[in-house]
Amino acid sequence: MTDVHGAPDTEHLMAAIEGEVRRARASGALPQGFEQELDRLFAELSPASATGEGFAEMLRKAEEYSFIDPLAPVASNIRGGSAAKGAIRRLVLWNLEWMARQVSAFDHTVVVALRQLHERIQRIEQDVAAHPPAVSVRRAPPDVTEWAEFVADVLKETRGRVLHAECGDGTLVAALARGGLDAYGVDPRADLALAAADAGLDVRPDEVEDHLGLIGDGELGAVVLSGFVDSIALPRKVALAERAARAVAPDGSVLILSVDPRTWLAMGSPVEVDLAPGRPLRAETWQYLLEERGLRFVDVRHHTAQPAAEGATLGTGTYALVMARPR
Amino acid sequence: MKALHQFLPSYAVHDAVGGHARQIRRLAREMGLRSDIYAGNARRSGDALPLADFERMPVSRDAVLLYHLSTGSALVELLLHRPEPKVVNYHNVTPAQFFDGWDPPMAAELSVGRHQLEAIAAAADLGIAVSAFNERELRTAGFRETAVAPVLVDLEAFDRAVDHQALARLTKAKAKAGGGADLLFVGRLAPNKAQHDLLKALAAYRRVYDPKARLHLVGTSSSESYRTALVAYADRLGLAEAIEFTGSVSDGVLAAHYRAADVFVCVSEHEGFCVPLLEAMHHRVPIVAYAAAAVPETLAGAGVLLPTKDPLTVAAAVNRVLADETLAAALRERGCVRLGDFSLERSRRRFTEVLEAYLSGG
Amino acid sequence: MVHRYGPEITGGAENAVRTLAEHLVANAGWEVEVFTTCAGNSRDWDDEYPPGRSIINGVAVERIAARAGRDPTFEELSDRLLPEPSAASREDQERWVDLQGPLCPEVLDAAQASDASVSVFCPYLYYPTVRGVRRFQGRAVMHPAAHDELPIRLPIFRPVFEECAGLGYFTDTERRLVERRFGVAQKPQAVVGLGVDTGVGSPEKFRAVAGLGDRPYLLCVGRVEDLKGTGALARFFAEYKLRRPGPLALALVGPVVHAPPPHPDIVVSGPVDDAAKWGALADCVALVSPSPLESFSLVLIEAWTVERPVVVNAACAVTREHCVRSGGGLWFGSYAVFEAVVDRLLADDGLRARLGTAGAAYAAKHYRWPVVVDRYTAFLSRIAATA
Repeated sequence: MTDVHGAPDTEHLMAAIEGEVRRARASGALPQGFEQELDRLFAELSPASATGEGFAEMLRKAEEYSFIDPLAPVASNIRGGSAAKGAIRRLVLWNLEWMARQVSAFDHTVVVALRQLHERIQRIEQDVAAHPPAVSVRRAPPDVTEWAEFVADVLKETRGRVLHAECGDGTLVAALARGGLDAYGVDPRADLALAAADAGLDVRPDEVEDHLGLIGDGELGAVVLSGFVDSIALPRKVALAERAARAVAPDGSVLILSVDPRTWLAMGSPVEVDLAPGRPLRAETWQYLLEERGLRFVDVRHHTAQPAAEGATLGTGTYALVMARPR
Repeated sequence: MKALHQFLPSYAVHDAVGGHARQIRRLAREMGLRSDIYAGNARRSGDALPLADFERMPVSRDAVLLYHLSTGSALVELLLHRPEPKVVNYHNVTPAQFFDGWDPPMAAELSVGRHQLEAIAAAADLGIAVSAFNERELRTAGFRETAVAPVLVDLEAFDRAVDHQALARLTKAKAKAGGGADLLFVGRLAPNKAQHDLLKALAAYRRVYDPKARLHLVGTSSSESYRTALVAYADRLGLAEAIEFTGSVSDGVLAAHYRAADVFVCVSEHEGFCVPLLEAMHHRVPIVAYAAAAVPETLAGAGVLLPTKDPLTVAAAVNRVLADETLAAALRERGCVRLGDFSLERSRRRFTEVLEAYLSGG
Repeated sequence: MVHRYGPEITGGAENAVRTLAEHLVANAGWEVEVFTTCAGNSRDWDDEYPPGRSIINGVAVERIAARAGRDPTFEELSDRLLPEPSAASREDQERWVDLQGPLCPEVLDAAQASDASVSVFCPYLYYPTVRGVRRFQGRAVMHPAAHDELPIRLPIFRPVFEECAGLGYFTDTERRLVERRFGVAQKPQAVVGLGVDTGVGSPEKFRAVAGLGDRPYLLCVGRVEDLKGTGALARFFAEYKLRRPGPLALALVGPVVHAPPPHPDIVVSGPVDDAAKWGALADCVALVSPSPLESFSLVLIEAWTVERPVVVNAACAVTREHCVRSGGGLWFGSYAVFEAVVDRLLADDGLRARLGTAGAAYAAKHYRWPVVVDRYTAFLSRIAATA
């Protein structure tokens, strides 16, 4: 692998290395997704802009830093120099670094700050405007009332807490609580969650995955997932299945309340359907994902949507899948 | 000219720039010039003098002020207000975006450094770059006169200083583990030096080739938040036991690490020169490096230069070097040859040449 | 159960406990018994109240003298342990709790003898909670009043959080802090917060007392102290006045610990009574909360009940949460943004009105006493039912 002068022949060397890499990847010496997992783990530990996630996060970070002491006219005159000369020279004598940092950090954020303020005011004005905001692609709160009785019945022997996510305004949580279950809910839409909390329910304004990430194995009696499971991207669905399966205790249940993909396509709002990162799965698929994670099948019920016209069928509407962790 | 004084925002004994400045001071004094180092963080008792002492000196028409530029500093303002002739020794400024998320005040300081390079270009008679890579930046910044003179580094000092206790500890650890390659990188823990990518490479290397391999990261940190993330990352990867974060160490301990290392790995995104590459060559440690910034120029074939740094490629390259003794020997040989270009004698001659040309011409 | 109690006591957690207790009685007709020590001041927990039973604003209060207050060697032990909380030995931590005090096992004994359906402990830090939660487990609700501070990292607190039956928080920010640190996310919880009473005051009287004439002014209510951000606010305001000459003044209302340097446009009025405070709120351009560390910030909600916009320190997650949720406030993290915010508020009447209205809606929806009490009683009832 060396040329006549003893120097390494780099072309051959690189080709050999690339061959090694291909073989290593093909041989399965590395588990699926190993390299992506390495990247993902570090990205979690990095500030957003370090991983290139963009300007908006960078602006947010710029705001979070503690106060910068204004140094009177120096701040705006430093590049000009003459008026500030005296001040700089005095400071230079005993605290150069501190001053440089302060001034330059101020400089760095000033343009950013004004832009942020403008955006912030615009957002607030939108929120309180007389007219409702423009169409948001976030799906409407799930209507699970058709399943409330069924779920309450399935879970009636459950010991331990029952989580409903996303619980929207807490209708199902309230129904389960009335049935004597210790139910609570999580929904990232703060307005809905806070309204539910004001109504006396244990509902938290959190992202479902964040909350499930804080639950230890086997700490819950049951997890009911509905609504948002339909349109999140596939990897998130899989991760959710994993977390939900681990969160329930032996004999605990995981319920999926979902809409049939065909109905979703046919009846969902076009913008929502087209822009959603993922589409609903069929019951069999959720069953597969959860069985892979150690749960066993208990029951599935389908609820047919009302036919719009005689003879026309819209396929099945929504379904409820019940899975359980073996004892 | 009667004097050549050097200015640094901050002087540290173990810094490559600090060592370089000390060598220049020695060289200047041997040329018959008075020469001192003034630093922003110096106290009277240290090796470098406080700026206040310089401030008190009367303006002198026969002194040259040499400023070491590697970041932003209010020191530039001070120098711009002095009438003495100025020379800039440019070590390269890390691009600010590496620090944007980790340490915005430092990012701001770095971007000020870039601006200051342009500001001082007009006022300086000469810009001395430590590599051709850096010299290109001096030209772009507007320096009219530039020259390339390598960093002055005394590699022989390593041989005198080895800390044998440290060396014994490293050898014992290897024996206790029943083998396993020792991978080494020397440099500040900083986002631009991408130690996180070294952790990925170690993970891949242990997975595919050598489950007992270890990684030694020698150097203090430039960013507390980055360091914290690295330690947490090592933990998350299950590699906490296999990775050593040494922090700042003495020359003796550093020499021990070079002696105990099987391969030197560098996946830095940005370097102005990278003195540790020379140190590795001096200790005959084969080098695997990602081709970024001045690294290819410094290596000049004396190491495996990778066009990509994805973990598996770095791991495969390390494996190649450790498994193929002919290749390793060839790399070591090239390293020895390359070192000749940077011997202290030769670098001192070059720097003296540049200074004399400047002093006689101006 | 709380370490000290009384209408004269001005700590955040203590005040919250008292007002919640009083409103449980007044609004929901609950029977509330408070078990506490005779301590008055927060320095050493020395007995300042007489022991015995009394009724204060409808709440039955049983005071029992503690065996010991804060031990003089506590600071030293604390200085040793807190820098590296996870390395502290079990014995050291137990001693830390006892030396901090108030050492009052009899208070816990008395409480245990009562037939209450649910027991509430506040805050997490002191002896009554640390020793008490374990004893009351299934019936114990804790209001941690938690901050991201060094003591919370002492391992001794972990079982305290994990053994209680439920947690009551001031804000979602506090809840997230606690859930991330301890394995309690699945526990019954409620973000209770605090209720706000609307007060009435005379703006004219305040202006007269403060010597403000008819100048527009920014208002900051609370202790005037560097830790509360008033020093930084004064500096920012001084800088603002240099760059924007005009009639705007800054009024700092509250007890003075660190007075800012004198400035012709900054008025430091010292502590004022309620009427003066409401008078000050009624007419200010905006209420400014520069504090980086707030548990709840009742004064923000008070400002909103009189439809004033607020401006908060961006680094304070709690006040920022209120602003983001309500749409009633702006925030600043640097001088540049402070200047831009104040410029906009002064120039745009419509903006001030919109912010104020949004804030008022938020305060009315979530923080009127009846709403707070309903939230709280629903939570406490649930705990009592499963106890």
